Amino acid sequence: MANLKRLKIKRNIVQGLALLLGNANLPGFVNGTIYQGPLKRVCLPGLNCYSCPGALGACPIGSLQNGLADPFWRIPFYVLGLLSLFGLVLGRFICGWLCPFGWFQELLHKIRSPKLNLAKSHARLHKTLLWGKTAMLSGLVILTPLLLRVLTGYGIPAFCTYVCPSGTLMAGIPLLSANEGLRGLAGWLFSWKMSVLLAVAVLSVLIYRPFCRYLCPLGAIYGFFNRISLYRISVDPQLCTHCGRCTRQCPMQVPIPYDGNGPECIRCGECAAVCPEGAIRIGFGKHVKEQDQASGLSEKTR
Amino acid sequence: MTRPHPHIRQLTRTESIRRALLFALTAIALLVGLLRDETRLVLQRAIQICLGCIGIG
Repeated sequence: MANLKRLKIKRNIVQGLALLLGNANLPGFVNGTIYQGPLKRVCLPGLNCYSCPGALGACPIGSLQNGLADPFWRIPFYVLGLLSLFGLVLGRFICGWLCPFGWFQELLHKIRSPKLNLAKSHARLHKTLLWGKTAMLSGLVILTPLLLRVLTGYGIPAFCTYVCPSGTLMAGIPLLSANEGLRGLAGWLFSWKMSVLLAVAVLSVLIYRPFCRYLCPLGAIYGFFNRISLYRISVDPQLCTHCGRCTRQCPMQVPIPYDGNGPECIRCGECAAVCPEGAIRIGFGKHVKEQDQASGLSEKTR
Repeated sequence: MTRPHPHIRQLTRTESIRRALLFALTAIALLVGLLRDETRLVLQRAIQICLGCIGIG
């Protein structure tokens, strides 16, 4: 239990530092302006709105949509390459440790209230809802900008405009609070986006990371890479006693010994922290291989 | 009771090939993107306040 407590503190510190490092332009929050320096050429790994007054980097989903909406039909190779690189190296570790909006939902989930576990109580609904991420990615992030571009010449970043609650929280609220000129322009769209944010916030109190599980297009992208990412989970069969503690502890309800590298695992590490046998390792490939060799497993037995 | 083998495998050969191919494609995409100065396009967009993002359509 001490392990788990230490891990949770460590993860909170890393999440806080990631938020601060990615949004270190603090004067922007006072002036109601955004950072316009060269660092914004690089995308941040998490769902971090580039219109946040503090943001030092660009949002990967916003950049992807704008690239796809480009009137000159240029494929956004750079953004696709960066997303792929983040996914191949870290997978959904980014969701669990670096994404500011994921942390926001986790903090809300700490509020004492009855908790909903859809994976247990409504397994079928849960499985269906998991496809929401892919639907959001293909429908609003990719297809809508592309199709609108065909019809009107320039597509719109539909996910950012109509859904993204991270944008409302990190950019909309601080900018409208500090910038009077913008405040006067807020209309029905802002009310709609505030409603989306409020809905996600209320659901986050009841359900662990509902947006990450069911709606986040970035989670869908990194989930695709989770099975082959360099940072991964390994379970030693010689140490595992099938006690099931890891799966019961997993906040994302991933069956760790059977599908630990599946698309839903956010690499929070709680499974490894509670394993009484120390059978679960999380990290980059090399130490996992060494561990396998030590436990006498050959390629053929896998 | 017989249980399925619980060990999470290292990558299968197919997965290793897929990973290597994806790394190669990623490197090519980044190289092409950088050569086409796409970072400038990202910067151009990111330094303007995204009115949609903040709820002003």
